[in-house]
Amino acid sequence: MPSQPLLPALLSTHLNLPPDGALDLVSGTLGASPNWLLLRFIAAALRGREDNANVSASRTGVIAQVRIVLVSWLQGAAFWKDTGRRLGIKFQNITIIDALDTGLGLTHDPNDADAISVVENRILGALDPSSTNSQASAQTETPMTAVLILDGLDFLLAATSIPVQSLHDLISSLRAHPNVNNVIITACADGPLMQNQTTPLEIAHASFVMGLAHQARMVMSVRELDTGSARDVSGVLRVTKGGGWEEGGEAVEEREVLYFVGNDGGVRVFERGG
Amino acid sequence: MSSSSRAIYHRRTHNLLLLQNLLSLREGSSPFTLVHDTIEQTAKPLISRYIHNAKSSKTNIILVSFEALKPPGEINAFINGRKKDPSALQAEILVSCSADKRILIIIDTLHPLVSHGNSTSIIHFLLPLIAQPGLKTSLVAVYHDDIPVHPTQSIPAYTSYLPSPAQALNHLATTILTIHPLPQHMSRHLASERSLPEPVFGLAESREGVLVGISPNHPMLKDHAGFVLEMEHRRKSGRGVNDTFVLPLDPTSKELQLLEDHPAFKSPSASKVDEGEDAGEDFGGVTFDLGLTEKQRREREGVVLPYFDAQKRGRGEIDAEEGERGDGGRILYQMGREDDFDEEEDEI
Repeated sequence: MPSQPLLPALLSTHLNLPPDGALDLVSGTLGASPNWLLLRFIAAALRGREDNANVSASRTGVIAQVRIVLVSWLQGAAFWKDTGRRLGIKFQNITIIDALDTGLGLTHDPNDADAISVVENRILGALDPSSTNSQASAQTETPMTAVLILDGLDFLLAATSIPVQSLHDLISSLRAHPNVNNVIITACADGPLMQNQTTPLEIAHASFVMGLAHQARMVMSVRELDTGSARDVSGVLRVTKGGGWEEGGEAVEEREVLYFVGNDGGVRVFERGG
Repeated sequence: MSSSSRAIYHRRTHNLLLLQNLLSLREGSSPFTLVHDTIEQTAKPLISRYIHNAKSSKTNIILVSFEALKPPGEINAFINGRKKDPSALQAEILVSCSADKRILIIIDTLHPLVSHGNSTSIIHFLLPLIAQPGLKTSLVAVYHDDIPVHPTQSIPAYTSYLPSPAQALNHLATTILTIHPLPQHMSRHLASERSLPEPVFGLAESREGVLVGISPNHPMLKDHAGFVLEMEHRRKSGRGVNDTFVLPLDPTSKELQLLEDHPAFKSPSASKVDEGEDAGEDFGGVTFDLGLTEKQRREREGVVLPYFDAQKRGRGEIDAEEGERGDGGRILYQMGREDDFDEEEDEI
């Protein structure tokens, strides 16, 4: 177990469970992976669930049971379980769809236009409360909402002929689904993909990511240090409001902080100069 | 009144009134308003202002949404545009328009419609909504400038010679409103006043991994939060009216003003005129008092400068005291009550 606290104090408000229907965009680059941030989101949601369980024990009211569904295109299920174990995150309570190993959405038939509905049905199947284990079915009285995490959804753009708009439609219908509380999506924001696009893939990628940023409540961007690599800084995290942030809604504190991922998986988040 | 102050007076009265008419959808003022925004400052506050104004003038509001899941406040019809064929969506919008009332149609992003095909198809989609005989509609549509257009279908080769959707829409629009974030606009303004390179934000920073800029924190904007609105209105005569305004974020506030009238953007010459009008007001940014009290002014008038003293002696007392002639230039000083006389150092 790493010595650093699992949830960095500077990010505690950002990792709270967002309101229903919210979309958060987490972007990374080749040199700065946002996996550590995703693990913190998962840990925060799990902690929230434990808090809720304590509350429901004392109160008889109906408390929403939060589930976590992780769909990962860029990492196998084994990777998430391993890193989670090192940090003390109990991945047995999390539904993982291993899209990397099963090749979810990847079809070699260019005429098969239904790749996107295969993805949607697979995710909706995992969201269905009745599909989960006995622990959940014992509490069928409580409404089940899920934190849905789509890791590397932009990979489908590069690997298949699925158009950008279909992916946006998929995300919108998942956000509007009654079993989903909020959606967190990670995507790449590397320079060649976002700046001065020329090829169809670059245009599609920029269009996808910026379209998400316009819908998102919060945008968290991880990037490498502008001044080059350093021994005690892994990268920069910038938190901003997205285009979908509602005036008068839950506050999103805009800030830019540095972070350092240690060998043990622990993360230290600190202000510049701190 | 100078010509420049007359011009700004004209703009203050006419262009502000024009903007107010446009925002409150005065009959026939603008059938199709195109709003350009970016992630740095979205069109949300402007849209809520439109909705607020439409509600107070009892106009029916139809919101066609591709981004938002829930309607922002009370509107008459909320149409979900996702996963719908453009012609089916068009029919759905037209069905919910009633003929006897004025109608405001808001489209929260045009991108899904643009990516369905080429720039001609978007015009075919919009035209019936703008100019349907028998319907009193105003269309307000948002176009995100920072999302590149990616056509989904394999389109015929000739379409690469067509104008881009944004260009086609600009030609079709009767009013084009472009939105900028106020803090960033102010930073650029301050930099250009000092002939410094203008700062860039967000994607323009060209930093790998940066999507959205962090707005600079100007203490001056604390009480004046808002957004910058660039207006281009095409009159029926063909004459265009261009101006730039600052609007408050609160849709109910009526404090619309010209960019030049905003405290953060007042030019030095304009502020000098204002100082002349209300003299005695504190000089911004100076920690000491530059003015004079009445007592200080009287005492300053009473000081006899050495030059005058030399002249007087040279002229009047030349015969009586010949010896003193010509040694003007001494500083004559009368000790006052507040002066601290030091025997060793001071001598008169």
